[in-house]
Amino acid sequence: MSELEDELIAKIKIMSDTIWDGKPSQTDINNWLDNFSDNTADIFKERLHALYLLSQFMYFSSREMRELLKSLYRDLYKYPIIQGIRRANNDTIDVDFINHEYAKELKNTRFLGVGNPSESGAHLLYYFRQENSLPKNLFINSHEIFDSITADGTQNFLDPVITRYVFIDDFCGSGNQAKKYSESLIQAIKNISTSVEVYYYVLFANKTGLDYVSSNTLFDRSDSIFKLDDTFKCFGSNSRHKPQDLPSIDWSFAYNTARKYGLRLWKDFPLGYDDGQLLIGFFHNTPDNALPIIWFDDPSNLAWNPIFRRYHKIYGDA
Amino acid sequence: MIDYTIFYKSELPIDKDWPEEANWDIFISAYNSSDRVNKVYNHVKAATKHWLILPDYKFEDGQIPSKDTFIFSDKNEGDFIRNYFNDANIQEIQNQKICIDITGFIKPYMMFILRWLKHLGVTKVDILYSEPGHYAKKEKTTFSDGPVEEIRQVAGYAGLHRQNTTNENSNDLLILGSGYDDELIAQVAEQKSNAKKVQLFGLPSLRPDMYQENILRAHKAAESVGGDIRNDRRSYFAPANDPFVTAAVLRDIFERESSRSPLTNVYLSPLATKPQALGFTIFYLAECIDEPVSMIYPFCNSHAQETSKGISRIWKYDVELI
Amino acid sequence: MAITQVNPFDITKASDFTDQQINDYWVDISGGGFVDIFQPNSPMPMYILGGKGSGKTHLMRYFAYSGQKLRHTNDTLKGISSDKYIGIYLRCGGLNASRFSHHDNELYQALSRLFSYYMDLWLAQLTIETIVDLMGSHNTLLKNESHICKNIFEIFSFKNTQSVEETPGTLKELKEFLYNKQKEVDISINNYAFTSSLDVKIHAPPGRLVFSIPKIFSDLIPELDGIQFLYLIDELENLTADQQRYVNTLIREKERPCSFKIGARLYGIRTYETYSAAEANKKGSEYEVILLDYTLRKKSKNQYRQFAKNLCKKRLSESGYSECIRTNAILDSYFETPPKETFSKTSTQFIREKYKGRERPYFKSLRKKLEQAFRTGNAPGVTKEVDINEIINYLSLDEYPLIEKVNLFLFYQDWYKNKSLADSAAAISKSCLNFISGEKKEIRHASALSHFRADLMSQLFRECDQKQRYFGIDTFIDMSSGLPRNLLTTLKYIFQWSIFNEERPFSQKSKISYQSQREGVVEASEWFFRDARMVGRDGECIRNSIGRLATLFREIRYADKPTECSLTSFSVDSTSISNESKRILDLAEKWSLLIEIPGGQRDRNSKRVDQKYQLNPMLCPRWDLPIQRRGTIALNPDEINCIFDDDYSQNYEHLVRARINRMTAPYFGKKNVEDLQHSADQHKLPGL
Repeated sequence: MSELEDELIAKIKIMSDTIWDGKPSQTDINNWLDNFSDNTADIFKERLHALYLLSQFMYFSSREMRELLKSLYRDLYKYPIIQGIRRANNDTIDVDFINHEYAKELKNTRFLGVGNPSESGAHLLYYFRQENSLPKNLFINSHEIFDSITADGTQNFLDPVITRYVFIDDFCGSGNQAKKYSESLIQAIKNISTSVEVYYYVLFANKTGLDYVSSNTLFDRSDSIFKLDDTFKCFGSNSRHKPQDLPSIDWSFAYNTARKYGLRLWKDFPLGYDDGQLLIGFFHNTPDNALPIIWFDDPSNLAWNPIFRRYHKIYGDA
Repeated sequence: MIDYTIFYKSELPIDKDWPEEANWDIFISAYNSSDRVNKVYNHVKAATKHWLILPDYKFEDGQIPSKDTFIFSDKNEGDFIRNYFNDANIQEIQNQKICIDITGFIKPYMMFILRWLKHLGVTKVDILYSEPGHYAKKEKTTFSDGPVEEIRQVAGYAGLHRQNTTNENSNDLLILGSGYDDELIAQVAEQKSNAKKVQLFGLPSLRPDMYQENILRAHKAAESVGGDIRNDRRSYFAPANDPFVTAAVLRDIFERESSRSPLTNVYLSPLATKPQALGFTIFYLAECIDEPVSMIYPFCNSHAQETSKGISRIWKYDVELI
Repeated sequence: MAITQVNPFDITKASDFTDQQINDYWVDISGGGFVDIFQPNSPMPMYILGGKGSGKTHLMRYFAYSGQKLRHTNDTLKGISSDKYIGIYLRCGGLNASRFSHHDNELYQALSRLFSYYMDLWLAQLTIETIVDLMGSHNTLLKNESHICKNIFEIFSFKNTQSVEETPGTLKELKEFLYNKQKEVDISINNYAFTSSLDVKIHAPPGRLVFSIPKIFSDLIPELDGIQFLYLIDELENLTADQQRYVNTLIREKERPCSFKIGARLYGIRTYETYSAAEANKKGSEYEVILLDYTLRKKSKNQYRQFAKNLCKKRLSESGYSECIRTNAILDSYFETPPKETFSKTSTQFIREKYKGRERPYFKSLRKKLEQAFRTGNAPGVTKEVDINEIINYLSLDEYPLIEKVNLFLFYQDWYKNKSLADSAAAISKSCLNFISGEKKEIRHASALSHFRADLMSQLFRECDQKQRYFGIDTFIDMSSGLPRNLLTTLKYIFQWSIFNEERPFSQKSKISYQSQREGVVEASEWFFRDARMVGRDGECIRNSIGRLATLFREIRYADKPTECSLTSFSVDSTSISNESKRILDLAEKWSLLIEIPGGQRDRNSKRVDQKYQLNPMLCPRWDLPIQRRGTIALNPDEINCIFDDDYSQNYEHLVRARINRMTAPYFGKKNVEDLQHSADQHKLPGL
């Protein structure tokens, strides 16, 4: 083991001991590195580069995700409303008054997850509700927005008093999913009433994806806590993951290695969905925009030991 | 009871015009060579603008602006700021619209200037803070400040002090705003080795990867700080760029820590971002004056002259000095 | 895998414990324990100096009133009477004394006086608090309470002030009064920032409160008659020199029934001067000094080892690891260690496997040196190329790589002395075979192996691309060099690595591997180096100096012909080095990066006794150095200066090179490199 390998392992161990909640262990790391076992002279080089990529990974465990959900509620949802109340009332600092007005707004808000109930959006809602001590009735499914279609073909809100529908998700990649929602669900809402507001709030978003949502959907507001710019694209020209001062890391070799093995795992997107090339994961799942070598896990199909597994089937796969 | 989280904060556009209300009677900034500090100074609309030349940066004559500068050699933040206000001779300061860009300030100076303004009866101050163009890895590594010379209370934040005869009575608490510099964290923690320590981390961080980087570095101080970072009584979070939520979280920490037994002495030490330090200051000024609470800080002999390029974001915080 | 096993070594600092836990965790050294060291009854003031982790605060808090109270749960007063003292504990850190300092001279003087007053008020409150806790509801106290309060109140003077103070009638009121006076000082110090003036009056002469209050109690309460009021003033390093002068003055002027024990870091005492006619306190007459680390280290190695093992067993059992931690042998067995073998066959087995069919790296290196030397005419006794093969064959011993290294070592020694290499190799081979078989006593081999075993093993590991090994609880205990905290921290890291490596430490299921032990040790070493956190610019100088020193030791250890075995100490004639070197050396010792070895080193020639220092064993793993020290190297003044004095550091490379060259084949420093290259070109043989 070279000195650099030791350093990388030590760094990963610190993360594992602290905020990664005990994963991965040395055994997990060894099992993952064993994946890189093409019988070439480069076996150690491949493992070193894979280890380097792992040391660059950003993982948000349950505690951090809960905090981000707290922030989403407090900073993205609640704060603009509070600000609005204050401005409309002479910049009042009467906390009781503000809270009272806010309570009214909150009562007429509904929170929904993005995607079908088995996906992470719904999972997150549970923690979101818990962390922010919100009542259950504020959380609905998308089919609870509308009433059944009347005889003359019109549709109404199930609860016309609702002024805001807030959609929450963990990750926004390309923005395509939001667009799909916009074209169907949000359009339907806006058809009934243009004054009802619809928001799209996520924890992490690709900057380009979020911009796309802003300009190409009917969401009144879209925002994320963290915005991933192009520097988070692992092998992009501006990548923050590319080392500045490590002579033993050959960046094009790293790219080739990730790609070579990635192709065996997901031939359409060897470096992550939509060529995402991200090195990011969450306690409940790893987004498929991340490098497949990190998360791929489909034992029935191909033997590969992931290091931060992803639980869903890949979209589009049969 | 104040709810800090209701206070106004906004993001100002970098290249476009700022809203109407963003103009002031007096604008104060601490000079350094970075793009952002200079750009903001030029962009601000104010009747009077002042540059404070802090001695810690050790600027030479040719390096500083030619006018509107206030230069004093007092290394003590209290003396410096007092001398500045005496010299500046601002009339009826409590009725003036004041704006301070804290970006170039060294934290104790920032803390004292707010303390002084409160002492003068000022109730509202607008604070600006800007982030550099991009956080290249180099910028994340320190700061090449001089070594820590002393750890002491910040002027005006010396507080009262209580004893404890036995350890059973002792419930001293040190709240560390833990940033990237593990040396500072460790030095301050060692100075208060007897106190229970709690860390406040910036989450959400300014950039997605900064939180993890913060943990990695702060970990080097782990032996000095003690305790398990995963223990939710030992580490707390507040957004790295939100002083108001920071102040609110500090209050939560106080309430939680004093719920079992009364706190004897509390020490606050914000060592991370400037907005975080601003949050500590706001909280102290609102709730800790004349209490056994003090702000301690690791003072260095000199500070690196920052030369970062570009601006990525400008924040405006409407602070109320209650 | 989540971390489910509790780390038994997790809390390592005194301040993390409650008083009860300190009492419980106290494991006294066998035979002549801490009470004898501490002598709480003795009226002679004492400075207790210790490095970080020496247990100093543990010690002081154990002897403080809170500790006495826990030990005499049934009848504290009776217990105090039998102890014959009552311990009043003050932690200087709580004074936040840095507030009483300013660069402006006039203000500085005023603050100094104010500090004395402040400290007195603080001590007064502590004393009264302690007595109230001890016998607050006792009849004798209650009977005399107002009298006591009146007498104490009379120490204060309110002349020239407008304040009208009522005499407190009860101790509670008195405490309140004292606290208000203290608060006045706190407020005025803080307000200085706004008003630029210190508007507070000093109402009692310096020292009066400190001595009179105990006397008043002593006089008026029979149960306290004959009891020593022992002020335990800890963390003195938090005070400035002037503030320490005040404490020194109290010591010098002390009055019965008071005495003092002062706790400080080794580097913490800035002065022994006093304000009494500018006299300094003298060791032996005004005070004694206990160097806690030194005292702990002086205990026989076995005594400390036993103490340390008891401490570990106690920790383990209290964390639920009760699986038969009864004997030392069992504790030892949890760590992977090599079997005891004369020639370390098992430990070096990997070399046989790794280099099967290939030349071992140290022979490869030897071959290269011989070839080079042959070309330049520096290989005595080597006349043709084939001689080289023969030499290597003689020195080889496939089964025992360690012995091969011994052979090589002896061979290099002979080479240095310019002996015929061919003859040397043959002779070594013969002795070697005798040595292995045990048939004949081979002094050279036996001696070399006995002295240099550890170094040669390290060389083997390094040359064969293996990391250095540090294993066995005895090693970790020795590494802690008398400071329990170092041991606990090391074990804490080892435990963490063991969990990371998915072992089950301290269970019958698996041993803590070499790897976990090593990684934990290296991490502890890093921590120790970082933890010597010296405030100010000196910190960097000291760290750089230690780095240079340790690098020199490492170069020597891994040289062909190391002159000293297990080298981590050096001697120096302090009279001949620069002032800056002296200063940095002294600081390095005070910060526990170097340990001074008592008795020094007698210089062979001049018979002068030089000072001798050892690199703190905690630092050794950072530079792949051994924990156990044996040999000592005498460094000349030039060498010392280039290591410890920044002004001379540019000579470091050159001087170190010179020393190492003398230990390196093939030239052993006897030739200039350029000359050699030239002669090498001249003598190139075909085929080479």
